[in-house]
Amino acid sequence: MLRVDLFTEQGRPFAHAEVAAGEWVRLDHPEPKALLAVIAGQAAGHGRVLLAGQDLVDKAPQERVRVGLAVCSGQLPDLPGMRVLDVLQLARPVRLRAASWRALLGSRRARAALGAEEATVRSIAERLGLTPWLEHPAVQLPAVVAAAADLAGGLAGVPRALVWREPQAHSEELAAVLADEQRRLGCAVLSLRRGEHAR
Amino acid sequence: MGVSAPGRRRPTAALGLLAVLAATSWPYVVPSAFAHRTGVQLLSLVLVGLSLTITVGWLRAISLFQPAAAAIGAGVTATLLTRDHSVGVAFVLATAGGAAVGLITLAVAVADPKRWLPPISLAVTAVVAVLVDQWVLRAFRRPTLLDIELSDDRALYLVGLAVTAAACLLVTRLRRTDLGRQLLAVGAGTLFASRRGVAAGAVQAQGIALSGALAGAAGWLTSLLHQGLPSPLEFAPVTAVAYLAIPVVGGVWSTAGALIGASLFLGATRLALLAGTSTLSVVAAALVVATMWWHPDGVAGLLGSRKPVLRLRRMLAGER
Repeated sequence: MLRVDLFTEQGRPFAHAEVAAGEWVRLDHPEPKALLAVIAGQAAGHGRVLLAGQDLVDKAPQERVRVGLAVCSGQLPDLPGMRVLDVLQLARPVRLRAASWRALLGSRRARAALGAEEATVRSIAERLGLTPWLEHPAVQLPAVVAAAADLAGGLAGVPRALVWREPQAHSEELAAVLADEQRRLGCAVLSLRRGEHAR
Repeated sequence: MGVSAPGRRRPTAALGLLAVLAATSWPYVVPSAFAHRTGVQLLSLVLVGLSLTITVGWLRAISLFQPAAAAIGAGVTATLLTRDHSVGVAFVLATAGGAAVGLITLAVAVADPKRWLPPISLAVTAVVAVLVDQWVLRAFRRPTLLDIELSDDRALYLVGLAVTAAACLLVTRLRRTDLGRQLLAVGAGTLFASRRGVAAGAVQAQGIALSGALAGAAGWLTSLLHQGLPSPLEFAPVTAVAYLAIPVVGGVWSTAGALIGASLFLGATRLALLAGTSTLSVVAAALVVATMWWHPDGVAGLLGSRKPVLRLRRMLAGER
């Protein structure tokens, strides 16, 4: 499902991983942040990132999300003007984005579709312990809440593959919830940790 | 996750309803034509404020093309109404013209909008101000709109109020739609936004177009008020800079900020006129400095904050 074959400019191996649908692979890497940026398409990389056989190398970051790749850094920047719930709904599936405009104009069917999607997002948030924080502004959140919100935001897009940089604190709690979500979605999960050697 | 969230206050819709009732009924209590015309000017500034809320507030990009968009809106309106076209058609074309100004500005600044939008938009305003100054149009008689005689200043105010109220409702509801969320995310940083599947360029274009359309609507209203083109100073680059006081003073995030900022801006400029100074930039600069010193979130941020109430409680309890 997800295959990562990346090299440095000098041609040395940078990272390699293969994750099947429904499988979870943990990768120890000396530069997890840089690797995440390359997989997300926000930094130049050499090699291939394949999702269900589709090469993502030439695709912009937002295109990678549209084909089903979710990238979660374990952190959340300050997002003034937004609630935590808004952040979770950012990765709303494309098919529902037009519904947002129809709902603004009063379409009941669109509102029903959006209501169902919001219920799904809220249930993910509940499993990650975020329910008390949904109406809170997405600024200066405690680290564990920010990590949970970032993960919930990635899951809300119903990804085919999720690449997750494990946070330094509370990663086991979040991993337990992520395992349940992975079983529910059947997605591939590649989690990255800082480690001495790439596997 | 073992961390509890602080309590949140919810805004009241009753205050909004009260404001709408007051805004609709005061022209019948105050019969002065001067007051009605001032009301129309305020509505025009509110539309500019809403335009700036989207760019300066949500997209966090300093945009100075609002006077240019308003100038095109006013010019299109005056041109059409001198040729006896309908007010509705003038409105549509004025907002489209304003949106086009915004998009042209963004197209020139596309390499790095946050860096280049301020100087490019200021340059666009300067160019449009020169062009509009050459625009020679005769005054027109205000037509009717749906059997409403707009030559009556009170009627013009009420029509302007309906348009402005619709714009306020649109911007308020927009914030909870996908586009609103995406605008805020792009403003916070394109890195995070793109990881969530947001195409920053397309979102910026939509936001700038909407902002330009709102400024174009402000120009439409101003043209109706003046029955032609207003003074060239209204579209000058210095006015573009002064307009920044509206979101800064009122609050950059919300519709309430635009309403408050526009009211304070108009009030301050009128007071300055009475005091014998008509320098718009001085008035605007004074408002901005006072806000940044006293409460950087603006008046809307202060009203939404619990700090004054907590401070008062501590004072009453005898604490320091």
